[in-house]
Amino acid sequence: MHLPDGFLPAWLGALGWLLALAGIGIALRRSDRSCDDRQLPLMGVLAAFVFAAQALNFPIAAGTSGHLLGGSLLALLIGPWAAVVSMTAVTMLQGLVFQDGGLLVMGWNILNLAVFSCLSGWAIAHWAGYRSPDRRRRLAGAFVGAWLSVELSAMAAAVELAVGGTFPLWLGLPAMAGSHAVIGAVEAAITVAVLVFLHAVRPALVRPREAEGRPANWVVLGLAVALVFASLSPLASPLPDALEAAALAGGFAGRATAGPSLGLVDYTWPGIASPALATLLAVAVGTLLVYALGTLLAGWLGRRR
Amino acid sequence: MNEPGIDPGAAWVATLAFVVGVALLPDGGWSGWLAAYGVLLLAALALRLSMVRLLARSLLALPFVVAVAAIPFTTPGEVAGQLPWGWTFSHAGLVKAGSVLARAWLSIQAFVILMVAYPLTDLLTGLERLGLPGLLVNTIGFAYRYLNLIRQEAERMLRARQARAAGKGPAGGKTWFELASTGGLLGSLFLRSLDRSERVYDAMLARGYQGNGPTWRQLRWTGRDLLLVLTALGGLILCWWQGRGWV
Amino acid sequence: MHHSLDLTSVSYTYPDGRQALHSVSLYLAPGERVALIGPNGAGKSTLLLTLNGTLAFDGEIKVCGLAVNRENLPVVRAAVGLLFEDPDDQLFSPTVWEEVAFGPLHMGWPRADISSKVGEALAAVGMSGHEKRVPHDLSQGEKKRVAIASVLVMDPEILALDDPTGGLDPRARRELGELLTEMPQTMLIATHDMRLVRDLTTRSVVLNGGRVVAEGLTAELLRDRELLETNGLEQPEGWAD
Repeated sequence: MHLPDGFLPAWLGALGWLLALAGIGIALRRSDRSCDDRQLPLMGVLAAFVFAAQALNFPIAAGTSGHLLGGSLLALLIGPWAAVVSMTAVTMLQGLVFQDGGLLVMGWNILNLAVFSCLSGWAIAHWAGYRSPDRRRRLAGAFVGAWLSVELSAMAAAVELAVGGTFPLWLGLPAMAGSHAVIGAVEAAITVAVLVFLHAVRPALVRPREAEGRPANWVVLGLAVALVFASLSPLASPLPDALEAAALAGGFAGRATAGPSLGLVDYTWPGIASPALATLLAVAVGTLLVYALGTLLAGWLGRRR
Repeated sequence: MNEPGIDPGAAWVATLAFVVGVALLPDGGWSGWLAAYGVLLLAALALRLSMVRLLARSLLALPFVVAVAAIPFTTPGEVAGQLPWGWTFSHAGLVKAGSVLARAWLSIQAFVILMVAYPLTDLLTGLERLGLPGLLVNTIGFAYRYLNLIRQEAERMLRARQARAAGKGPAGGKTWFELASTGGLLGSLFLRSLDRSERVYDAMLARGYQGNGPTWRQLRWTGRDLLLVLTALGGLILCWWQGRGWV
Repeated sequence: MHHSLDLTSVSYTYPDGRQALHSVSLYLAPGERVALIGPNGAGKSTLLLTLNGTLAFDGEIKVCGLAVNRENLPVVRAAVGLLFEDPDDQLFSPTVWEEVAFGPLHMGWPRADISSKVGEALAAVGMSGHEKRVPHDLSQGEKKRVAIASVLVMDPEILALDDPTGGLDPRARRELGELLTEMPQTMLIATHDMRLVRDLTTRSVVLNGGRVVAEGLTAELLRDRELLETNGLEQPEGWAD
């Protein structure tokens, strides 16, 4: 899920870096506050742990094996903010050492893989039952949180690609959401397996921590951030895409390829004239759908037990 | 590896300027990207790096090419051709796909040059001097230090587990055995890492650590560094103008 | 008074309630080299961790005449060089140079001084020229030596070594033993390596279950086979009566 350079335009990459640095700044300050300075070796060594965990294939069942992303697991074990710092270190190292992910787009990679995954995994897990004294409800919450954190990260990447004009939303969103459904399930399974083990061996780690803020706030905050960047996108490039301008000029617009869509071809709603407004609406709807889905699912699964 | 003689912070700025510049060139800006590649060749030459080695390392990062293949089919524009099962692809899409590839590849090459020219610790120092928070830079440093160690521990544990998994196919309750043992393996690895971080903290305390430490935080650019940075920024502005159609 | 180590009735209880040390008293004269021997779980490592204030203990410890308490911690930590059992816990910096420079950096020494001190420390352990190496690439013996250098650079008066020869092959063990023999500091060495005890130390202390069960000249203690075996130890060859 690491985006390489070239897949997002320069202005979007810059925005991603701004948001990522803001997120990292908040995470650093909050993780510094919550514990004494044993945080430094803790976050560093655990970042190495996540790196190793991500690099290896672990057997799941019936001969299959899978990978772990680790954001939500780490967040549940050491707190969301420390987890964000660790996962940021992992993402940056992957980019630096293995060229896994570009430099310009690293801001978005950090947001997707470190910030969104840790925060959403933690928040949704707590919403879906991680705070409950009943152990099975806690595990169910962790399962949902882990799975949805992967889905949300993937869908965020799809939205970023759409806003950047590389892949249309009608292709990117289902592709990312669909392909990561299985990955998410694997993540959830491994997360729960680890928590079960740790509960038996060192239960103090798995006890629900004092919240650094109610989970609801984070979901709303994340939503607000997403809507902010969604609203900025049409304003940042007021001129039509160079290609489209050429196409219009050359009279080729009429021969555009038609493809399957959800009525959102080229970010336009039928009946809305202003392209900026239409883009805003399309991206906002997509974002809202994602969060609504996540929240509903978390709440439903939480109530089932 | 030769000492590049350029401050790593300046190298970072130059690399970032290069990557942004390449991104600002418009779709289809082939001549611009060719020139950019020329710049990279010059850099590699100046740093006395082996081009073959650079190329080899950058190829490792190319699997994303698969994703690029979808672009011609989803970009509106004049139809350029059709696949046997009806999917059409556009000229604009082909140009765009090529552009994405070019930008990605140039960025990777630039990144690889940076990584090969400097040891990672120098690059991290450079980042810190440019203003990245010390806590984050140190976290990355620790992660880098313990990367291989923990990965080796994980591999050993995996191998030990495999050696004990005599029977192959899952029979009844055995399906969950693998998942449970993976949970145990990763859980153990986590605990070992956690405990290690405690011991590392004790070792740091024993040598006088008293909270976030001092490092060589001074931005000291020589004339050469400044020249490089200004040239890079100049190139960036050129690319931006090119992208806007002013050049 | 200088370079001496004085423990009086030192006790330590783990957070979970287990008592690891029961009223341990010990005195090391300046320049003395004393072995701390005993079975696993006896509390040897725990005792070493109290010496520089890493663990909060009951009782009194005086390092070079200075009491180990919260106010004196920075001075104590410079005076007591602690060598950890696993060198990978101690070598936490990205390169050898940065590792050895860690202590001086945090003590706020001037930059020029640091470079020369680091060079001296590495030379003392025979690791000059390895400044840019990555800890992961070092052999166990090299790691131990770099760890010693990282401690030596602070000019400690007392060295507390936790299993210094553990995990080393015979040649590395011999080299390390020779290195330690040449060092002037007062030493407390927790170890299972009876040959090292025999070659390096003048006095030995047997620790079992957190208590001092025997103390005396190394030569005498090592001859007492029954004492050794009762405490989970082995008599080195050539010492039987």
